[in-house]
Order: sequence, then C-alpha cells, then structure tokens
Amino acid sequence: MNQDTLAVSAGARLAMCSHVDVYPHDTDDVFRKLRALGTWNIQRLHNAARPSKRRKLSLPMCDTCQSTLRPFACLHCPSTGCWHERHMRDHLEDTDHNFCVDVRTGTIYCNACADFVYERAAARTFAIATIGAEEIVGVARNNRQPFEPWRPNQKESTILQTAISMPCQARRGLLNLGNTCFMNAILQAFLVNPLLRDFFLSDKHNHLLCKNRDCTCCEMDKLFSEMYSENATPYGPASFLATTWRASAELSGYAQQDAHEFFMAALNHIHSTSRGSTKFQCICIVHSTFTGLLQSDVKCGRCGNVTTASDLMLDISLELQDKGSAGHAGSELTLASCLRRYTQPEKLGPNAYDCANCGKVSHADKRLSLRKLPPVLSFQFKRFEHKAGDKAAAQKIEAPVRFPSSINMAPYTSLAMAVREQEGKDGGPDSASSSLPGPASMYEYDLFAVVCHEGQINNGHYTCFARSQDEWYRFDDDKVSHSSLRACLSSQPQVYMCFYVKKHLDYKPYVTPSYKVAREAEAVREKQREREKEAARMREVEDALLATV
Amino acid sequence: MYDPFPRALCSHNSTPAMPRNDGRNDLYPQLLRRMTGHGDYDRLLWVLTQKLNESGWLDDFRDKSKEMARNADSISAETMMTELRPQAEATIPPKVQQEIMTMIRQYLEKQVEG
Repeated sequence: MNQDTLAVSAGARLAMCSHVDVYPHDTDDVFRKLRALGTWNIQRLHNAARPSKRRKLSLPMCDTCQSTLRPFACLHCPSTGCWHERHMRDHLEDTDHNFCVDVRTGTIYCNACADFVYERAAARTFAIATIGAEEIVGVARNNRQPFEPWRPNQKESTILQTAISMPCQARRGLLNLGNTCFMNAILQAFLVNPLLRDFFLSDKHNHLLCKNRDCTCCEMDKLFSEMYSENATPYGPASFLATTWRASAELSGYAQQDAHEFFMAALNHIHSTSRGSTKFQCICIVHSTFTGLLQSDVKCGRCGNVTTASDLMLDISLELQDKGSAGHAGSELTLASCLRRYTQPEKLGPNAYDCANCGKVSHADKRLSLRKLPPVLSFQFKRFEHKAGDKAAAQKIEAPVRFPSSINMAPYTSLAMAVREQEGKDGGPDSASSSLPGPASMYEYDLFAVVCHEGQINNGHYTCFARSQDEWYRFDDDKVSHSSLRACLSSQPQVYMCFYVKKHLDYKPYVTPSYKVAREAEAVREKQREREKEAARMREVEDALLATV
Repeated sequence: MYDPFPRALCSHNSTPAMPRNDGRNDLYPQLLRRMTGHGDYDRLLWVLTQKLNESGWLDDFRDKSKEMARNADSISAETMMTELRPQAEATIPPKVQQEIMTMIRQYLEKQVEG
C-alpha cells in the first residue's frame, strides 16, 4: 500500500482552516480512515456493477436513524451520522468533536467553520487511495504502471532549489496573418492539450538541436516556448504558417481554410518530423496522444457470420443530419446522441456484401464501436456538406449541438457492444455500461478545448474556447478574454470541434524507445571502431620505428 | 484491513421502526438499506447522472455554483445548497424525472413481490 510519508509524520498537524485547537489528535488515524474510505468507495461501486459476484462489504449507517443515504464519519471517534437529518452535525455539537468526513467524496466538514474545508494532504491521501483501489479493481489493466506520487530525488531537489519560477500560463493571443483564424484556433487547442504541452515543454524536441528542414516539430517547440513565456503580447506564428505551406501546398494561400483539414495536416506533419516515428504502431507524440482503434463489425444478413476489422483513428467525425434511419428525429442534437447514432447498426444495401463465410452476396449490418480509447478524444461535427468535391457549392448545417464538460465513453466501446449483445438487450446504453470491466474513471473524459465557427462556409470566422486548469478563456485571434464554462457550453450553434482528455491516464512501464536503443548500440560500435583504428595506427608507428632501428 | 465503519450492522431483522410522521412508508428504512446494500441505488444514481449530464443540467449547476462562490466574499456550502436547491429541483427535465421514477417503481414492485 502507499505510504504517503510526505503528508504526515507522527505529530504533524493537518493545516486546514483556522481551527487549530480542535484538530483530531491522532492524525495517523485520520489518514488511515481517509484511505479506507477511498478504497471502500471504489469497492462499493465495483460491487454495484456485479450483483452476481457481490462481496460482503460493511455498510455505513447513521447511528441515530439507520439511514444509508449520505453518511458522514466523525474524525475524532468511530461515530457515523447522516447529513440530511443533521444527525452527524448533532453529534459534533453534542461531543465537541469538530471534524467529520463525507463517506462518498472524502470531503472534510469543520463544525466551527460550519462549512466544508479543503485540506491538501487529506485530499491527496483520499485521491491516492482511490487510485490504488481502482488499480486493484481494474484487473484488465495488468500492464499498467502502478501510480506513485512524484517525489524529487536528490538531483532534482538541488535543481529545484536554484530554479527560478516564472508564470507560464499560455494566455497569449495569436495574430491573424491573413485569414489564418483557422490555424490560430487549432494552435490554441494544441497549446492547452496536456499531453502535447508536457511533451514540448519538457524539451522532447529541441528546435535548437534538430537538424531537419521544414520541421513542424521544431515549429511546435518554438510555438510552445513563445506562448508559455512571460510575454503576454500577441504572437504571430509566421514561421509555423510558412512551414505548413511548404509541407501541404493545398493549405497555402490566403484564402480561408477548413480548421479540421489543417488539424489533420498538422498532426501528419508533426508525426512525420518526429524522431523515431514509424508507419506501424508509431509511438510519436501525435499517435500516443490521439490514436484510438475503431472497430467495425459486419454481420452477414444470410448466415449471421460476423467479420471484425480494426482501424486506427485520430479523431471521430460525427454526422449531424438525419439520413432517414432512426437518428435525431424530433429530439435535440447532443454529443451523446451523435455518438449513439455513430455506433448504431447501419444497413448495407441489398447486395452490397460478399460474405466470405457462406459465399453469397447479400445484405448486411455494419456496426462501428470504439475498441481502444485514446488519451485525447477529438470530435468533429460535420457541418460542411461538400457536394462532389466542389468546396464552393457546400452547405453549412447550423444546427446547435449540446456537448457536456465531461463524458463517459463506456457505452460506445466495443466491449459494451459485446456485453449488450450477450445480455440480449439492444439500445438503452444505461444498464450494460455499469458491468464493464474497470472503474468508471477509465472511460471518463473532460472537455478542454472547443473550436467554433461563425458565419458562412467561405467567409466565416474561427474562434476557440480553451480551459486552463479550471478556468475557461475565449481566444479570438489576438483577443483573449476570461470566459466561463457556461459561455463555452452556450456555443452550441457554433461548435465545430471539441477536444476531451481522459481523466486518468494509464502508463505502461517505461521502455527505452527502439530508436534510442539502436542509437546507443551504434555509438558503442563507433567507439569500438575508433579504438581499433587507434590500435592499428599505433602498430604502424611501432613498425615504422622498428624498421629504422 | 482497517474498517471505517466499526459499528455498522447490515441487519435485515432489526426491530420494526416506530410509526413515522414524515409522510414516508414504514418500510422506508429497510427498503433503503436493501437498495443501497445491493448496489441498486448506485446503479440508479449512475443512470440519473448520465441523463442529467446529457441534458446539460449538471453543467448548468456546476457553472451556477462556481460563479456564485466566485462572486460572494465567502459563502458556505450549506447556503449555496439552500439557494440552488429549489432551482435545481424545478429544472430537472420532466422526461428524465419520469424515466427515473419508473425505474424506482419497477424496483420497488420487485421488492414487495418477493
């Protein structure tokens, strides 16, 4: 089990609110309790999903009324009390105990403050215990690196002592260089992408050391350095634009471009200029961040045989229009309804499928599902219906689409489809999702960027909402303004793309990338060759000397 | 293993409760215990959460409570709850309410039958 020794040592105090005098004396016991609650919660949720395999779990009940709704545990003694009937608060009043904790969330309540208080070490203990319990419960993820809180080692501590900290919050605007709002919106979405940010800010591709020409990775590195610096004046990404033009001629020129096209082209360029990128199973930053697996199951109408195929996907493009089949008729468009429609069975034409199993040509059902979820999920709403490749004669679909600040992707996974098939139910994603392997947090995503398009297809304008920690900002080229979640979510008629990041990331144990292994082996061989050359030269010199004697 | 609930009893044969005066059925505590103990409560709560998330209700109150806290000098959780609860209860989409009530009703019917 985790020993969060950073948080507590015997006698250390919890630094919460100002009520120092009434802290529980035994802080070790408090942390033990918090850890137990974190673990218990996950086990409870895991049990709830598996009624057949239920293990015996103790159930907290209010000591006074035996209610099992919203129990709180006293931090000074073993009492349990419910919240709604005030029984826990009565207990605190009666006994002069001051602190209690909400069993469901681990939040601490201070009676003297008459409010919930935040205490960092307590919150960390609860969170770490929760993650630990999730790892045990999520047995499907055997090759996951167990979570460990970061502790600086000796070398890192020394560096931290002399390091100068500076504000770097990336709230700079980007200058419009001539209809480049499509690029600016996507770049802001890249800048606030946690995985891309961590990669480039930790110097994984240093543009001063890279020898490539027209290297988009170098442009990204330069962009991150500029935008995360202390300089707050708007920045003109001219070299990024120039490199993009050279890499993708179809995006060049000052006409308005499609942001999604630019997004895909940029991802491709970053991938191809990444060190060690490969055609298959690439581990470059783009593929590590955005790649998911899309599974398509085709069921033959005659023999029922199902053929399964998987494809890599970097994003999901969602249709907005109802093609007649059971779709959005009547009800409003939401991200969830678009995903349901995306993953529902689609009938292929009467003679469209040549079945390998029964050898006949017949009708078939095709169904898409998400086999593997990427760390960052990108959605595009297909608002622009191009007719026969002629960009000019396209229509924009202005329908508002409601999207949430967080979404659980479990119902759209291949696993969930399989479970539903077995249970014989169809539609109604609610029941099956709770019996999927692993804790719910495996499937949960948080919104962090939204790209909006206003106006018509040819003379529109792109803007972007981006989240930095818990605050939302609106980016309109060089104009940056503090916004709110409400404003972001109200952009339903304009939303074009949205980006979600997984709540909890899974890490495999670190393995040195193959190109690094190869490079080191090569360096060793090079040294060996040098030594041999040197030895050969020495022998020649000796021979020459001997000859003169 | 450390048991955070040392006095918890999962007893189905406790003494019958006194007649209630809060408008609730006499069987309420027992049914509630069974519902939470067997995980049905958590399952229903999950369904409700997904539906409220999709309808935008969850985000609406996420934003309302955050902005309320931001604009006040210092405000307690209880005060916020008192102020937001009426709005929250009133704005639950009728369709969601019906669907969840139906699920609860179905659950109760099964309990009373068996």
